[in-house]
Amino acid sequence: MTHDIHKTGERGFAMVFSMFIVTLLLVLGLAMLSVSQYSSADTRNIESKQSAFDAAEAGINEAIDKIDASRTYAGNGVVGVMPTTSYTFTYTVVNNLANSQPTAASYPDAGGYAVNVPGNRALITSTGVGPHGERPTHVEAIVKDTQINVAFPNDAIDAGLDISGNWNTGVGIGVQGSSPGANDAIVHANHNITATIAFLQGTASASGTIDTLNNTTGGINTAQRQLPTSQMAQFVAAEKATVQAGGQYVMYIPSGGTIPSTYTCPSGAPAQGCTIFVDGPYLMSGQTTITFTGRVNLIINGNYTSIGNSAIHFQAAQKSLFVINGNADIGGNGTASALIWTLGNTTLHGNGFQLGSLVSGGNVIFKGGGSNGGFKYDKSYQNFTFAVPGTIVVSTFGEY
Amino acid sequence: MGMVSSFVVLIIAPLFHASDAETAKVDTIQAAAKAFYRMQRDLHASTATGVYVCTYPAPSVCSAPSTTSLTDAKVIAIITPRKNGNGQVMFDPTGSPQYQGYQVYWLTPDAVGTATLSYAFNDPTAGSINPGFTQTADAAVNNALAAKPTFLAQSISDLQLGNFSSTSRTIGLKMLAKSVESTSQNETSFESDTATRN
Repeated sequence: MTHDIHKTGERGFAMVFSMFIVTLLLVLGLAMLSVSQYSSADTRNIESKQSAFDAAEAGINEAIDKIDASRTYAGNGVVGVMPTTSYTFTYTVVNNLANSQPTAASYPDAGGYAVNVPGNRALITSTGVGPHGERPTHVEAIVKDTQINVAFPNDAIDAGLDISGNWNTGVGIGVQGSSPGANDAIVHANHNITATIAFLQGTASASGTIDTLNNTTGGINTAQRQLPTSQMAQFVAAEKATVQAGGQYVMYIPSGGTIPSTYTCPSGAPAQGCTIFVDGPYLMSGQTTITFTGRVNLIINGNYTSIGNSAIHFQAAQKSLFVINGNADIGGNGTASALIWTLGNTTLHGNGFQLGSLVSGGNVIFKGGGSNGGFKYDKSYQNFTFAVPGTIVVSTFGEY
Repeated sequence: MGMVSSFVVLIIAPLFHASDAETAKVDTIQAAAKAFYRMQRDLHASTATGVYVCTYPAPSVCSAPSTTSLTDAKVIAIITPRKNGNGQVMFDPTGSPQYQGYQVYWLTPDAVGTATLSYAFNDPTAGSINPGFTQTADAAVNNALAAKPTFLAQSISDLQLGNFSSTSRTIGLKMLAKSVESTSQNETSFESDTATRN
């Protein structure tokens, strides 16, 4: 009986206890769920912020590509969608590349800051945002064009270092002016001139203390010429890239290859002419003769040597450019008519006849000579510049 | 009754511990995530020659990050073109960045074996500065360490910088956060190679 009473007293306890346990489990579960939600939200926020930045940066990159394709491009509120995340970017370009003066603008998204876009620069602002209106990321970039203009001095012969050596004065070869009586052939060395030639139809000057071609006081201690030697690397790299991209106005010749004996630049070529790029040193010998028709720019990416009776004939009055990214030892029957631009030393053998202009980053050395040799200045190379194509690159980058 | 209670304890105890582990994980993520993103943002707007690893405590001496590996960094100094560290990006008339000072991040050891990540901006010259000069970074860092910092994150167990590449202009950044909840401990790491675009 007592046993029955006790049992009666415990009735309901199991249910109460079970309810307590279930409630406890429920509370714990909810707490864990809540914590998990925090964790999930944190992870999502990190991903969201990164995706928004990626989208904004994609906007900058797309704008750069558009400006690369057209230097006058100016998009306003251009929208794009990231393919995998569906995040969008919106960018605006204030294009001031063609203007040398600054222009006023503002960062439309990043607080509306007033800004002067510098001359010859463009401002790109881009905002990345998620598909559900997540917190946006703003980035901005000042971009510039890396195009450079290579400017050459208005001289017949320039040397970054010395002008030395001797031409065979016995056969009467020297440096002629552009026409009889013009006396416009200027020879300059940024160091000394110790050379001997039969005549100079113009003037000589040296930035050093010796000038054997001009014994007046005005012939020495003159200001150094600004030669474009430091631009050679960028020039060669840009031209190589252009030529390797292919096209009907360019020719790429790998190292060890041969320049065709004749080449005509097709009509419709760019104003700066056609380009032949030899990607290594080059030797001309024997009776080898190369004839170019039209404006042709020949680039040797290494040393250049011509011996024997070899010669390169550029068509006269075309303002062709012959670039040697190394040392040039020009013998044979010479090179005409071109502006020869050498990174290092240039040896001019007097047997060959040169017509044009010479800009040598190192020494210029006169050597030997025959009755048909010498140098004649081509005054069409006055104020000569050559534009090296560039790309659009970021100058200043910021993220808000 | 006793058996039932024991059974219940056996069931519930792991659940309590699971909650601790989850909380620890959340703590470490929360501590590190925002700070890491902020440092990435500053690296984006910096330049490869303007990021330094510096010693702690003061007087601090800065040096360029390793090019071969990630190394422990108690203090990181990042040059910035943002005015006062958080304002408009400044540039000169040619469009090149006009650096305003250094964003200085440093770890102060705490009582539980981790550290608090603090931040301060400092312009040691009261004008625009140039990257590549460790003396300027030294001055900025020592000024920042003496200033009232902004606390960014707690429970940071390590900060590393390195794998600097001058060709790709990227710098590796790694942050570890460690948290202990009851008997549960969790460590979360964030790591990236970040491009310095200026």
